[in-house]
Amino acid sequence: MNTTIEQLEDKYLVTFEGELDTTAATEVGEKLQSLYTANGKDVVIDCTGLEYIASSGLRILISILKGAKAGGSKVVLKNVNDDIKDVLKLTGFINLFDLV
Amino acid sequence: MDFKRIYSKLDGHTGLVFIILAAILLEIISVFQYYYTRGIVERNLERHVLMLLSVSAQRMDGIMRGAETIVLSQVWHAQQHLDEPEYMETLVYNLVKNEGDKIVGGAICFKPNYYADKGYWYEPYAHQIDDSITINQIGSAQHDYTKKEFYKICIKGDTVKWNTPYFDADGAQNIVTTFGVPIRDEQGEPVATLIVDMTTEWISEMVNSIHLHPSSFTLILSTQGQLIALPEAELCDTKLAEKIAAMINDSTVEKEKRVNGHVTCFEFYDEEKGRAGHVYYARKKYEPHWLMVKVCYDDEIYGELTDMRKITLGLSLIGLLVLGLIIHRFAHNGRKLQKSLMKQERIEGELQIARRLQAQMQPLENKMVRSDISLHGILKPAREVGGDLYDFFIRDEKLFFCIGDVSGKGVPAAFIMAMTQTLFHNMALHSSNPAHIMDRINASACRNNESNMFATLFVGVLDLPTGLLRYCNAGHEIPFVIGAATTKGDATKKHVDDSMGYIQHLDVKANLPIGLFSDFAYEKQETIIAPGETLFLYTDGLTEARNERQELLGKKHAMQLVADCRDMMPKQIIEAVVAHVERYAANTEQSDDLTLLAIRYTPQEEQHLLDEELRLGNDVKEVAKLSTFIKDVLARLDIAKPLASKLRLAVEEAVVNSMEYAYPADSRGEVNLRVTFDGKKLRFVISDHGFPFNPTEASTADTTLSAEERPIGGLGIMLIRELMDSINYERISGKESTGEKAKNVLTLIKNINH
Repeated sequence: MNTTIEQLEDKYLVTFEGELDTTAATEVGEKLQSLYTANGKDVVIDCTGLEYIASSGLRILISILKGAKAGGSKVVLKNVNDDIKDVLKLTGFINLFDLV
Repeated sequence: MDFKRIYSKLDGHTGLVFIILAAILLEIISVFQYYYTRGIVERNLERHVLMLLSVSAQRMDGIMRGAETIVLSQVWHAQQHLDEPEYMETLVYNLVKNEGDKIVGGAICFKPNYYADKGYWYEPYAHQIDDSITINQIGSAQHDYTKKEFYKICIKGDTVKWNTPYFDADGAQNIVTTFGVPIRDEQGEPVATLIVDMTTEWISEMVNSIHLHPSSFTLILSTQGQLIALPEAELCDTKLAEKIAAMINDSTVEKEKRVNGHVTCFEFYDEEKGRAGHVYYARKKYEPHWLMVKVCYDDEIYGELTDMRKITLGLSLIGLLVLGLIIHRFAHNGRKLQKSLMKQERIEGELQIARRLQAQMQPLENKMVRSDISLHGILKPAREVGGDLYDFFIRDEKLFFCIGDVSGKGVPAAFIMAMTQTLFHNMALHSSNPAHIMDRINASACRNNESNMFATLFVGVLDLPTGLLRYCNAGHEIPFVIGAATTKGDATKKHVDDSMGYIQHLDVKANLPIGLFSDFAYEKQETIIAPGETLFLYTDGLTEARNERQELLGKKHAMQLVADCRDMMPKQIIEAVVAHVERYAANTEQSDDLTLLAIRYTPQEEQHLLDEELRLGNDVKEVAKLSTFIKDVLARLDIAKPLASKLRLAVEEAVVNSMEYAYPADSRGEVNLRVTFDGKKLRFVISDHGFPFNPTEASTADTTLSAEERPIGGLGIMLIRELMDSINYERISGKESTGEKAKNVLTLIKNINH
């Protein structure tokens, strides 16, 4: 699992690559901790390379979303594959995020 | 329903019309009857009048003939003694000497100068006054009998047969009528007349001695139509008598002949008394041919008839009133009956709906097509609705079932029954512990239970993968466990006969029925149901079925009955038992609700196409191993990516749940995963030796909440439920004998259709 985080002028650009299972979630969570607090910038998460996500990964996404919403910004998920979309649908998360 | 139509038409209005019509009809009959009877009365009266007049005439005639005989008997003496003038005094004396013959005077009047020494007139007259007789010669210039009518007639040789009464001032000094015959000398020449005077007072008395009616009376008119006799003034004064006499003589007054013309009749009106009346008269047959007149007043003629008519009318009016009241009551009762019929129909209709609703509450067996369980239940209410209940459903590879019997029957019991079944269903969705389920049903049942309704209830939870039966009994009939001949049961189980199957009571603590004490703590019990064994549950409708002699079927009989069915499948068992009960209770009304439930445990021996195990430490870093293991196993089973990904997610969530919740933080433990596949079902069994933790009872995430409201937890179990076909949790107790530790076992099942 590879995670990158890039801070642009008006937003954060995050890329997920690989499988975000429970083990990986511990690491990823620590890495993205800065996004959990509001700073008013939108977060764009590029999921092109994300193959799998467990509930611990979903918790990271919801933590980021809570931070962004508190600052009045939004979280955009880019290129989510069908399997993960199904999981987002099952959990109702699909309604909380902007998917592009 | 003809009844209803009649009743609906018989309202009060119709009753009134009926009464009026009946009254009119009765009045018509009464009028007809009145006039008919009036005719009869009139004809009877006419005959009666004729008879009375005839009798009076005969009596008059009798007296007059008597007087005539006296006269005639003296004629011979007179002729023999014509030469003895003095004898004539004896002769006239003889005429009047008899008492009671109404003769007041008797005389013999000779031709003028018949006896030289007796002068011109000679009339010896015997006069009877108050029982004394005086004899005088009364012939004189003042009393010149030769000028009298009767003398003139008799001296010519004729007989005077009672002339018109007149006042005899010289002789009788009374109103008299005279009978006279001539006395002849030897040459046959009339020389004298022999006469008797008779008063007429007695005639009136005699003819008025018999009264037809209190105020009816009789008059007598002479042949010339003059009044001869009239009754006392009270009955008829002279004025009235003269009026009637005038009417009889007046040919213009319309008169009718009655009784074959013997009686003449006409109507009159007495102005003074203000009464209408009828006058009847007939002429005497013998001389004198006087008119006998009978006067009757209408009010007396028809008095009784009018009274009778009034009584009849009164009685029929009373009768009609009574009839009217009866019709009114009848109509009223009819309306009441109709109302109650309608009400009853409505209640029956509602009961039918209730019956259907209750039937719909029964669990659907065809929804449960499983290889590891076979069951069948039946509920036969004694009335439209019953107080028995049974239910079953499968949740998380566990069969939840119950059977119960509410005290009482009918609608009240049905209410409690529906409530209890609903409570069971709801409670069983949240707990797999039958004692907890029972506690909560009991608490709800006790709330507001003012009518003290209670129910016996047996709740069972059969874990299908292991055959572990947890149960809790609230005073219900103890279920049977039966084993077929082929069943490999526990060696300690009681055999029915030569080892061919067995039957025994489930070991059950009675506890208390629900609905009595809200704080009663129900006790859970456990046992293992062996493959092939059948649980047979029933209500007292089985043991208390009654035959024609009111004898109970009894527990022993019931047990034998069920034992006989031990080789059958549940459906056949139930059908056989019901058929037997129906035969036993033939020709009697079903006394109580009958409910039967048979559950046969039939787990299949698994033929594993795949069986892999993985042991992990309770550390989330171990999940990487799990990911590799799962991917490898699913790849071997040729499971395509989307499904494989979902299965992996479900298993990962289950394993992580176990790692995080079964063990306290910072303690070491193991989580074991076993994957098996039998060609249809892919099973993941996750077990650990940690604290009891049942993820199936944890609340799942609410997907409708917003990001801010979403709690972090609950996602895992929700994903597991969504992704798998069935899940099951069991806490397996440890065994001290083998040193085996207690464990949590979570089974996830996915049906694979290749």
